[in-house]
Amino acid sequence: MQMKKLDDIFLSRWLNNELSEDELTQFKASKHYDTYVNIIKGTDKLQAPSYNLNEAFLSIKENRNVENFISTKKPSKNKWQLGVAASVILLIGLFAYVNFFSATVYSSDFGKQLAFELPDGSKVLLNSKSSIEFNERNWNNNRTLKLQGEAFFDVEKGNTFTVKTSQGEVSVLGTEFNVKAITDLFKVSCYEGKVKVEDYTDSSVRNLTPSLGYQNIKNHDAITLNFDNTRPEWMSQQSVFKSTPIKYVLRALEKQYQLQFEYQGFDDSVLFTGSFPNNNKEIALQTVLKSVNLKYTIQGNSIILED
Amino acid sequence: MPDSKNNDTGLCKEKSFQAFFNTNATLLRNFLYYKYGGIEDIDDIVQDSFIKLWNNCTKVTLETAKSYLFRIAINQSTSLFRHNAVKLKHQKEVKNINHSSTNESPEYILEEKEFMVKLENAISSLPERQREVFLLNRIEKKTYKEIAELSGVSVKAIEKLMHKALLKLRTEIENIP
Repeated sequence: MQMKKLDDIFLSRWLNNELSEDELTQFKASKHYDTYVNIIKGTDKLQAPSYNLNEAFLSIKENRNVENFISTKKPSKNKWQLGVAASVILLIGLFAYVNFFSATVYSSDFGKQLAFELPDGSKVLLNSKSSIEFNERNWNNNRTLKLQGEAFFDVEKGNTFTVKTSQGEVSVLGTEFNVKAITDLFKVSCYEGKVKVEDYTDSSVRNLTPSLGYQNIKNHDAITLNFDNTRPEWMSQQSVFKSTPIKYVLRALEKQYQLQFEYQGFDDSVLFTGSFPNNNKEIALQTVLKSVNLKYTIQGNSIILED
Repeated sequence: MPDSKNNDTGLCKEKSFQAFFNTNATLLRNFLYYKYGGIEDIDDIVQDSFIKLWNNCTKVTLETAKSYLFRIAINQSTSLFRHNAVKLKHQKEVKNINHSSTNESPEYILEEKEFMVKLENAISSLPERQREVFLLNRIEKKTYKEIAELSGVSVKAIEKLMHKALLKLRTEIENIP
């Protein structure tokens, strides 16, 4: 076979596991292949020097105060008048912009969780690779937000609080609950108070009380779950699954550890009950994959699965 | 303009600004470090950039804040580093301690040490854009798309830089006896 001319992004495609089988075989046979593999292995051991976030933030706060103090002390009448004219225009412009177009978005990265407070003091904890969008300005009149992924909510008392997802919506008065909405999977768990769940896929509506959950996975019957933990497992660095098709478990692993599974020819609807840790990739992979008898090889961020 | 009057974007409040800082500071700092090396200057630039962003918190939304921040930092750095030779030093810490105990003879360890020295030198000698992209991808585990967004270029451009970086590293390493 004729060796194809290497294009100018060939190595990038290799790192991303985008090479065709032929390309990969040829590449592996080339005399430079080992050096490339060693470069990648070696670089993966490197780290930037550690960075102390708290210290850095404190020093930003201090320096900022000093800077602002100095700049407000500067007397200059003409400049000041000019400044006001300009600021007024800016304020109007900004007001219109924020009011009509801007939604506040919080999102979390692979393997990271993010905690924040909503304007009414309700607390949200976002699980990895998830995002929440809401209108901050109008929040107290309309407590509605959009969720992609998974989040835990501790809602302050007030008017109805609604979480919309692509598959259903959850509304409550003041309570604690967890919503998980990824493609084809919709799961709600109630920890305190009372939660109303509206499932878009079958237009059903039901109420959940504490320790009750609801789960709807595409091509499976919707079920009501009982649980006895007081917080979602992912908040304690665990991901737990009950009768969940293995493909959603794989997807959760992908989100947690920024991986990509590649597989063919095994039944990915096999049900999985069990858990994996959120802070140890090797153990997580072993626990899940061994329990369903799958062999795997790791290639960078890709995991190739074999029966 | 003091920020007390208008904090629509949410970024002005200390709590939300700190949250934003916590999610982005390490990445910004490492981004600059990979590009230029030299920790003290970098930490100053990170600090100045965040102060500028905070002082301008009413003019940016949470969505635009990140790219605004990176732009400030890059602008500040170019004037500062233009004439500086860059020497990168990485900690030789091994991240995965778990699978180190097996089949590692002293010769193997020595060989690996030598290779790491070569590799670090090769990385230091990369042009700054290539080094930045390569290390963001390999160490920070950022996708090509995410890196492209950070510096406002196309994914294709990142893929080309990545390819060039690897090619250059390989030739550097293979040419050292």
